[in-house]
Amino acid sequence: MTRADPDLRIGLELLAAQNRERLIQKVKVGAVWMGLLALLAATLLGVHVDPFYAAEHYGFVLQGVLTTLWVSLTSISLATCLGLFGALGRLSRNSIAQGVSGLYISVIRGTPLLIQLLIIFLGLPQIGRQLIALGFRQLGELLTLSATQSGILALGLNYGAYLTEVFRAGMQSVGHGQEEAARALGMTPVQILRRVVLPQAIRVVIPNVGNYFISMQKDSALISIVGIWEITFRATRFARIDSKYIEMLLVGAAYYWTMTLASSWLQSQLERRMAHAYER
Amino acid sequence: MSVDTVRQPGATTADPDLSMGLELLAAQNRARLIQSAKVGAVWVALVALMAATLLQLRIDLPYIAGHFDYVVQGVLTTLWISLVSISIATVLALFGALGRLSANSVAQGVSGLYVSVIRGTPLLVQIWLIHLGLPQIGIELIGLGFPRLGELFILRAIQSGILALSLNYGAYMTEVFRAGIQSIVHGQWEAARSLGMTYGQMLRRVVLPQALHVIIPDIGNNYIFMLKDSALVSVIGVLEITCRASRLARRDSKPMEMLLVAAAVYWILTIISSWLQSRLENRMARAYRH
Repeated sequence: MTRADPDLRIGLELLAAQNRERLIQKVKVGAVWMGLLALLAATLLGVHVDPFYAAEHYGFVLQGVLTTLWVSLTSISLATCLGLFGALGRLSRNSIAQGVSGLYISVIRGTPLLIQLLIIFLGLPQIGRQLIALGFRQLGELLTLSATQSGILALGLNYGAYLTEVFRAGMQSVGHGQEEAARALGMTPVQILRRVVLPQAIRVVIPNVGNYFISMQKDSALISIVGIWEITFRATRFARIDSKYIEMLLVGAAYYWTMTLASSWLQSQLERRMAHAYER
Repeated sequence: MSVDTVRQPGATTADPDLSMGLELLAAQNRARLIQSAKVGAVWVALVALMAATLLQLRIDLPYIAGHFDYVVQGVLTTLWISLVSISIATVLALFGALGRLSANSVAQGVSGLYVSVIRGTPLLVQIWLIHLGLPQIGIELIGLGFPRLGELFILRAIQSGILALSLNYGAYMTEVFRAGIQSIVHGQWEAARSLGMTYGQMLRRVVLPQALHVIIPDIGNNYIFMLKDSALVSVIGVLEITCRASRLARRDSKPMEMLLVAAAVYWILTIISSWLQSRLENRMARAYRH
């Protein structure tokens, strides 16, 4: 095309103007963020918050990032398995499977994560001791969990209940005709699930699991209460020794914020990737 | 229902199609009822099984009976803290949403930073920062010669708990308000502006009354979540359900007994408030039902 199309040019110019405006607005908002953060920093410095203390000890808290990520990753994997089985239970016609998964979801979603964590960390060993006294040594020892184990178990159980709904919605989003067609081909229920329903459901499920992973990174701060050396625990530990609460907690908060920003970005990439198949 | 299956007032003979349909519906309802009863029986059996196992393992039932009222006294505190916090959070969320939706870059920047920071950090860290960090600033301020301002930063446990919960939920509910306000078609704003209304009038008379239909059920949902998240303020010693339970559990080393009582109380609270919530949603949907 050698001759320029005037309509096209006007359109392109309009688009460029819009983009320019959006960019300017973004820069302005970014400048406001910077200004606010600088103001906050100046105020904190004004009331003698010690930046050198934070600079000296940020590495100690940084080591907790790996623990947080690792615990969250293990827990979300556990939760994904639980969510899958929970959803199968809820969608089955068997009243026992429905009852078990229904009760699981209702109880877990009806009680705070903190209570669940404390029951697993403090309550189960009590049961374990009784079992050992009754002569079931191995079973009893199985219930006496270390802090990390109980943290992972509590987070996994808790998020499993929420992911059950995600899996259920994902499976229900696959049209019923697909299941009937698969059955007409003579597939067993497991085959139907593995070859027809799950591969399509997973497209809906994965972005949601990503979202839950992001909130789990923050909820995993709770397990600092049972003494796991993740970000929050390390931050509060130093804070308590030298009573430099603001300094260390702000360092911890900054790590969480960075992690959330990074994983939200990854999440948006993932969502874009997952939407490819349905783009036209 | 097609016209010819409707029973006419004067008709004497029963319509076979109608009676067949009614029978089918009744059969369906019966099947659903039987299924619910079966599932209910499974629930009861599971709870009984767990209770029996726990009794076998010498859970101290008399101890629970003697001390559960101490935990139940925390229900009022939990409900009250959540109610105050959700009210403050609603106000924060309204202003947050207005900021996010405004064309002003300062308002956008302030609300955007607020939402991003609060949603990017754990509630527990926020609670610690407010409860332990703010007094540190307060003491410095008093040292610098601002005693009034400094004392404002030294909060009691319950105040810091409410402040942390409100700030946290305010950020999450900002999105609720934003979605609610955006669900009102833009033409309504334009129509209101062409009538000469000011921004405040447009918001108060046109947009918010309609947006509230979407927002109120979401506030209810957030309230149910907050009932559970308020357990976190037990770490700074607010005497609500969790704090009371774990305090007794620690004193008499009966963790399983007291924590199960607390869990049961929360579960009942959630079931009741979910039921209220579903009624609220029904009520809110009435205006749009045909």
